[in-house]
Amino acid sequence: MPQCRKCGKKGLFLKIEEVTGLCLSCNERFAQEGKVFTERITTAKNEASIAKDPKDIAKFCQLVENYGNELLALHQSYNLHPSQELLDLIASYKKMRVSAEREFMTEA
Amino acid sequence: MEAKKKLKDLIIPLSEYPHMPYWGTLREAIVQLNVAYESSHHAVLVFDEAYKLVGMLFQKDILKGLEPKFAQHYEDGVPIFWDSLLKTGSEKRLGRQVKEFMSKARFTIGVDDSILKASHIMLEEETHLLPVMEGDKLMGVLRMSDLFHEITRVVLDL
Repeated sequence: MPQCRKCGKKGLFLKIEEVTGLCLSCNERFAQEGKVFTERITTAKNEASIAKDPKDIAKFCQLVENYGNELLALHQSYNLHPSQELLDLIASYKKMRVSAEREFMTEA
Repeated sequence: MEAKKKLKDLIIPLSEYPHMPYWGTLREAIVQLNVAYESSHHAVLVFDEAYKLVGMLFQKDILKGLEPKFAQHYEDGVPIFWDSLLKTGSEKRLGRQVKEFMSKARFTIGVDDSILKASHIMLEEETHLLPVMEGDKLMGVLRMSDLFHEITRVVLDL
């Protein structure tokens, strides 16, 4: 019998989203909450890529990491596996932040 | 003659490209594509609310989105007064979501596949960018320009 992996609702005629395994209302809620973080991540990511000052780069990379981790936590709260893209993004921006921080520490 | 470089040597990490959500507007996409242009990347990667790659947006997609609706019915070129009408209704078109115009990320290539196979898929699917997978893991993207250089280098024995 189909069952939502978030709210546990089950029923013969319960419609479950194939990709997420969530019922339609949980899926909609996840999408709405996820949109906020995705938007913040893309904005911070794009700011980081045009920033020139290592301090700014580090700041935006930190934001990508923070919002990325918040989106990860959202996935966990809905019992969903995060996308590889998200995990890679967090890892690469962590590396980028560390290297930018090292750069402005040396400059100082 | 075999290509010296493997497909995995040509992979570009996703983070190098500008990103935007599928509900972003054409106006935002233009800004991102201009940034991408300066860094010699000619596409924006489009993500969903779970941060999964869902598509790619190329310059041609933007131009398609900006084209006035009536012009889309002219198969043998557009009339000369088209230019003056470019701005008509452009505000509305600029506010449309990129999901309407993006090229969906439907086709992928495996990291161990050959360069020739990647080239074949790109030609068949008329795409300049191909996501590269290692099992379920998205490794990055492959650009046609890099494939072109590698293939022609081998063909010309450079």
